[in-house]
Amino acid sequence: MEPSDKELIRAARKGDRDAANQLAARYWQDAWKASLALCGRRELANDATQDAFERVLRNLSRIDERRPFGAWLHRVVVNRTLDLIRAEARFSPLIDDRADGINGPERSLDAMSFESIVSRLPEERRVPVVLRYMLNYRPSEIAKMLDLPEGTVHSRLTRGIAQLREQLGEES
Amino acid sequence: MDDFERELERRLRDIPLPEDSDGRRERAVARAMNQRARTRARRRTATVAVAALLTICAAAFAVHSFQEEGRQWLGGGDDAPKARAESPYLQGLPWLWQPDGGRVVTDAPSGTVSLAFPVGVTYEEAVERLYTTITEEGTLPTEAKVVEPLPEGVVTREEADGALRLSLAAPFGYEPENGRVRTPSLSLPSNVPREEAVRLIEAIKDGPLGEALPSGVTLEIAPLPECQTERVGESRPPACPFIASGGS
Repeated sequence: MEPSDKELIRAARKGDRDAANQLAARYWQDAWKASLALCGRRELANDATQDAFERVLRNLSRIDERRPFGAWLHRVVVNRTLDLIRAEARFSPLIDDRADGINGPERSLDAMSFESIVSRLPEERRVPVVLRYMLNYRPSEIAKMLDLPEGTVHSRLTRGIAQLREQLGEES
Repeated sequence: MDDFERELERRLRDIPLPEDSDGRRERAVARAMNQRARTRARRRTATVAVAALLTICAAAFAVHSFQEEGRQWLGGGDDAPKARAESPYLQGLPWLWQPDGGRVVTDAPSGTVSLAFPVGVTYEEAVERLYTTITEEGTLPTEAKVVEPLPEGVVTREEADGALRLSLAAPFGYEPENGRVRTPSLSLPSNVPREEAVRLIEAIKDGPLGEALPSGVTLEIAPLPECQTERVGESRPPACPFIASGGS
């Protein structure tokens, strides 16, 4: 049977690297994709995800075991991504390097333009959209993570989706 | 969820990972675990100083935090001192920085903010979270919002919805008569042999605070005097004598 997050956390706190690796492997992919959807840039997503995981693993002692590990990790990933976006003065959502295929040659043009559009949503809409549709949090959970009233989360999601519909021309 | 939202979900999930994803993950884990190991080793070394202190103490130990500005903190991550020194909210707080000995609550910088905790967090939980995050990371608890100051001399306010606000000026409270702020202290069980006390101190320094404090070791959080609390919708209790007399 697979060990629970709590078991892996306890083992990692004692210095068990395999446990830390297993824990990271469970969450890395979704975290990286969420970061990319937030920032639209592969290098920034790499940095933000790595930095977030390092912070979380260094501070395993701070984890409140009564709360889900994933939610804490995802909040750190979101915050680190937004911090890096703000810190990088040269960042622009309209940079052209996306046209080179930021995820490699196999990446479809369709997916590229889609991601690009998501990452250009205003931050207050982009974050709830990514938490909802990429990381599958319910609006009530997003409200807790972002410390917002649930109604505000709903309205930001609605506006974010409306903006995406408009920009994608209801292609879907 | 309509078709558009389902498509949105599918496309986000279908984002391809970079080729070196596993390598990046493994390197991040290795760096973090190496740093944890180094931190633990340093904390063990620092225990020697604490052991020397314990030879003087006999039974009941109140272990104050002291290192920065001449005082040393117990516990704490590598980044914590720098983060504490840089945090705009933690500068000059009399319960954190005491280079000149005991300070009074009115020594707090004017406009010292308060923290608004989510509904359901008790005073004891709020103080413990504050202590833990400041000690471990040098930051404020992420679940608390920084909000405007409470009135002078007020340490906590219970809002109409039951949410707790905690003043950063003196979260552990202060002595009502002379205004001296209460500083964080950890209690070890009395009647423990010196070797056991040293082991407990080592465990505190080696491990996390809060939920993982070694058995028998507690963060001391004394009840607040009535004159330092406020409840929205109820008349405010009379101010503490020190505040009523002008706070000096």
